Amino acid sequence: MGPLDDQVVRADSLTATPDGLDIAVYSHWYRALPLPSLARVDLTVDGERIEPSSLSVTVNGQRHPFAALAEKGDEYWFTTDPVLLHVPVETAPGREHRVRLLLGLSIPYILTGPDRVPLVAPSLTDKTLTAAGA
Amino acid sequence: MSASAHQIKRGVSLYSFQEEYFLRTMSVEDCLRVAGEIGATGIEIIPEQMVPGFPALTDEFVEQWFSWMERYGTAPVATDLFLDTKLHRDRWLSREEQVASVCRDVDIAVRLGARIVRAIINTPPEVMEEAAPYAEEQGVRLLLEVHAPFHYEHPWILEHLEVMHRTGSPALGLMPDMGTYVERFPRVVSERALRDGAKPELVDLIVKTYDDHGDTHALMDVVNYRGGGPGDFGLARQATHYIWSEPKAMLEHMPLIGHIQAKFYEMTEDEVEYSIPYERIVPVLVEGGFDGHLSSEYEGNRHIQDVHPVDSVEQVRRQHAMFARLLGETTGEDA
Repeated sequence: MGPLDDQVVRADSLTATPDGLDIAVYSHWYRALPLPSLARVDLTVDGERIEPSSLSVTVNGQRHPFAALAEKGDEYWFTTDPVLLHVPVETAPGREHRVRLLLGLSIPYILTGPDRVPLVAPSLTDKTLTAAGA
Repeated sequence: MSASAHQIKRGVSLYSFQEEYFLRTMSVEDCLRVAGEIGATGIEIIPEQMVPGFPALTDEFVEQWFSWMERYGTAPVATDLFLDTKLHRDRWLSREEQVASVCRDVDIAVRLGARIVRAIINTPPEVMEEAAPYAEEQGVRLLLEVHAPFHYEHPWILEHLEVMHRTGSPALGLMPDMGTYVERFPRVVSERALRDGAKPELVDLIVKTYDDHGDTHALMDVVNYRGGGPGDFGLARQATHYIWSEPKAMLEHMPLIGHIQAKFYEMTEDEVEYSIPYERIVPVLVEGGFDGHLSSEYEGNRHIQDVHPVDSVEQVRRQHAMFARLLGETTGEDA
């Protein structure tokens, strides 16, 4: 975790939509990663924990249930493109939300320890931001 | 042999500009313009980092890529491949899948006009062997990076050398990373540890042990006995990731060496690398008749980004001023 964490969720990352809150999330890893690398999304919005199973994620213009990303090894999340987390919480344009996100990226070529498990590179965001209109 | 008799060329890995690219203050085109301006004309790129749409390259990007090369007087030289052996959460890539991944990346290199592909250190020798005929057919060399803490007597490198010598494949070779010649501990790293709360006396011990080329693997125990915290352990671990070895060891392997990743952490105002003695490395490359690129790989950004803005462009410029001096290039000012 480092100073670049500040770029993961940005001032204009929140959008209020009819079915909830969209959060644009940027990668903190230096190269594009296959979608199963988006391994850990510990998210709370206004203090309420959001179950990953209730999230869907838009990557490269396509929307997937969070759990389905594990099967999308042939698709990549590019370095400079955000993914959109669709969060089922009630919101409206102009409303403020406190977003706390621990994002864990599983690095598929850096294996650690005797069990050779992939390194999980974390970033931590804790910001209060205003949702824009869709 | 005089420095002027060599065929060594200067290049840059665009990875060097990762901070600015990440912060969107430099685009790929900006990176190429800067490279051209400082005479780093051979370009190395990580497709996963800077080619939108990877692994499916668009015709539009490829067209732009070559038009930028022409505009800025640069040429594609190398791409860097990764082998995502743990792509899937529940299993490893099979050997066939690993070979297919390498061949896919050979195709990408060809599309980008590069004739050299960096094979990441975790690529198994048998995968290199199986991919070699395809690379040869495509006119591409797969060069295994020799990255710290690996060296030419390491069992993993010996296995690779066995394949290279047994097959005699012209498509296989080595890409030494100059991070294997860290003679003194990078101070940007120890200073960062101090800022992050490491204990000054333990930082001194770690730096001194490294600089004396002592037993860095024993440091973890000592840090433990001295009540070190996470910052101290992190630095002690870091000390085992750098290595110093004799650059002349490259001479024996020179026929296999096709490209150099010129790793660096800090170019000082005097245009000298603080920890890697390039003034003793470049003469070895000249003596061995190396005729590829010295490709800048700046990796100091992550150690200073907490205290001041990173200026990768100035760092790379200084490294190339040093290369030009060590390679005996005449500058305009001297003429």
